[in-house]
Amino acid sequence: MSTPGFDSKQLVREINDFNERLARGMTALAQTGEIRIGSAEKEAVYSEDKLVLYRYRPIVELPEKQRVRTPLVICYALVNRPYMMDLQQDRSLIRGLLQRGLDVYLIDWGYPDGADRYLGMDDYVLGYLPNCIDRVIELTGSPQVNLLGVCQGGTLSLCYAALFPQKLKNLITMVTPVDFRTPENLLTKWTEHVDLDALAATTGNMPGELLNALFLGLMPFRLTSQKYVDLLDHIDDPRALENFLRMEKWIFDSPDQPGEMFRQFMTWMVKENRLAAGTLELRGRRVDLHDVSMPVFNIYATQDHLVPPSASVPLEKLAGTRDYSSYAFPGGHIGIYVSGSAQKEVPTRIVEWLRKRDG
Amino acid sequence: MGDSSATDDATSLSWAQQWIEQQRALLEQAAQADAAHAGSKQAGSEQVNGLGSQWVDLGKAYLAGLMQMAQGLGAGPAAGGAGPRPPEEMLEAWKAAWSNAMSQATAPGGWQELLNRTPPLGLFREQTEAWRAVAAARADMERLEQELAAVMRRVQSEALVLLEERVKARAGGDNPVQGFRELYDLWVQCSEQVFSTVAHSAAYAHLQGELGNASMRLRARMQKVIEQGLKQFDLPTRSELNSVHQQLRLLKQKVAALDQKGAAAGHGPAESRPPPVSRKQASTSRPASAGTKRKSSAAARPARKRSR
Repeated sequence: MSTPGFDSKQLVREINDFNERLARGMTALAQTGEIRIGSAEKEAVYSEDKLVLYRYRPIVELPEKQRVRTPLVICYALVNRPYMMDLQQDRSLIRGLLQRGLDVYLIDWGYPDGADRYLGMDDYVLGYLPNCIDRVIELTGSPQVNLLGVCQGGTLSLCYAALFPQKLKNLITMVTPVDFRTPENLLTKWTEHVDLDALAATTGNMPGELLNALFLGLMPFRLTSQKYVDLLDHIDDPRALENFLRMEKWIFDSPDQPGEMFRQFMTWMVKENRLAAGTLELRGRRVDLHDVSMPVFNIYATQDHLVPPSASVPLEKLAGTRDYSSYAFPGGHIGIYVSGSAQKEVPTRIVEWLRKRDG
Repeated sequence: MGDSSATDDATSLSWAQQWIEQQRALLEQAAQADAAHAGSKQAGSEQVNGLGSQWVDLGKAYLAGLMQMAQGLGAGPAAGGAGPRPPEEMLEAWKAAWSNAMSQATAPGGWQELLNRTPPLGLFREQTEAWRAVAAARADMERLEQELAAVMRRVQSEALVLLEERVKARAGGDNPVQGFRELYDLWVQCSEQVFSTVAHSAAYAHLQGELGNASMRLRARMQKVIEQGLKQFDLPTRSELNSVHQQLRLLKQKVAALDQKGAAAGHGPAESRPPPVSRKQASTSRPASAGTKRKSSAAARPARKRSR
């Protein structure tokens, strides 16, 4: 049996090389300067409290036939910032959608502060979200909109779709948890014994930093150590370094969660699984997924450690629609927006699916 | 050739093994540091006990003095032999009453324990109680933090065992670990694997939850103390602000409901009123830079505000 030879000098070389990279890395990091985020131009068309609804400016002129006439509203999660949808020129789901002729709107929830601590799920599902959609309907003259919900924003979108089905032409959910009680869901397990009432009472709004610590805790060795060691492999590539820093900025730019909203979401959805069980009520109105009657396209990521596929897939059985499609993207929770393959694959699939249902 | 390969394997294994042993030593040091930390807390508590013991000694000396005085009185002519000896009986009763408390207090850690269990009295009763609650919550949280740290040390320790197995298996096959980076990546892989099993366990979820709850208790108790302080200076407290925010939310909901009623009655909905437009709201945003929340340029189309 041939065994690769072992060279003890190699270890020394490796250590020296690592040190050199580390030194070069420090210089490179110091020289990066300001990191630009976002690429597509947008304008604010509606605002309410902290939220701003943006319309993205079209970037292509497509023949009428190729366009999707119904406007698309993106409802992002309250966790992290929505610029993940348009991080940079070559990593932008929104740009991909614009290039394929979609009229795109995005809800930016802003940075909630102490004055927002008593905002509840009802404020979002029965207040902010309907107001944004009504505004798009008013602006475009379209009787309905297409709604794309992302992660927690997908869960809110499902609630909206169940309560206002007549307003939606189509619903797309991306990495959206529906059944929170599946065995793979580590966050649910960790929440099991947490006194959420006490948490909301003492922290007020849920600090973004605390949520970040929780997310890092899911894979602590990988996310707090190896990730930064790996960075040294690309330290000589300014573009790769800039991409890394942009992602780093997005990951830790975490708004606080309105305390009551967080408490309700974690208790009702995560602990009690009310959405899947059909027992969720908002201001006396039952949220029944059987009422989600419009076509649904459910996109999930096969290696998602935050929203495991098992949490998303049950939507097929729970939603009342007769037109259900799904797409299992081979990647993770973040890769579905920023990976190279996602840039082509995800917007293409979304637009193709919408085109067929735009009549 | 075969001998040379065997030597290579052995060398490869030995430096990797050395690294693993170093990590074990570091883990051991961390465990000792934690134990020392716990020890220093114990020392703090012993200081309190020491002070308590001094008080006990003083008390004993005081009682002994009184006893001597009583015996002196009892030996005097007024005592008259077999009659009642009130000072002595009284002192015996006092002594019996206190000796029980003191024996508890002089047990290891007893004085602090006794103080903790004694309800605070007097002018600063409320403040004392609040601070004691903070101390108890802090102790509870630190205990749970240490438990969690021990779990993480166990994870790392088990990960090293797994790593050792994999390094040996690879050295025995045709894919020995060639360098530190490879070893490090393998270590991360092993650590995540072991951690994943632990993280999914009911015991870990329970411990995480308990620690979270303990930290909330500490936070709540500290908030109480801080609010007491703020009131002394007539400054607003979080509780007062909460009350205002709750009232504000209810008022907003009422206004929104009235708007809807008005619209339904044909008096014109809130939406039809001229919307307040600010430059900030009516902006065209260009790609923002890291470090800025939102950048705006000239107004392109007015944004609208609407009440809910």
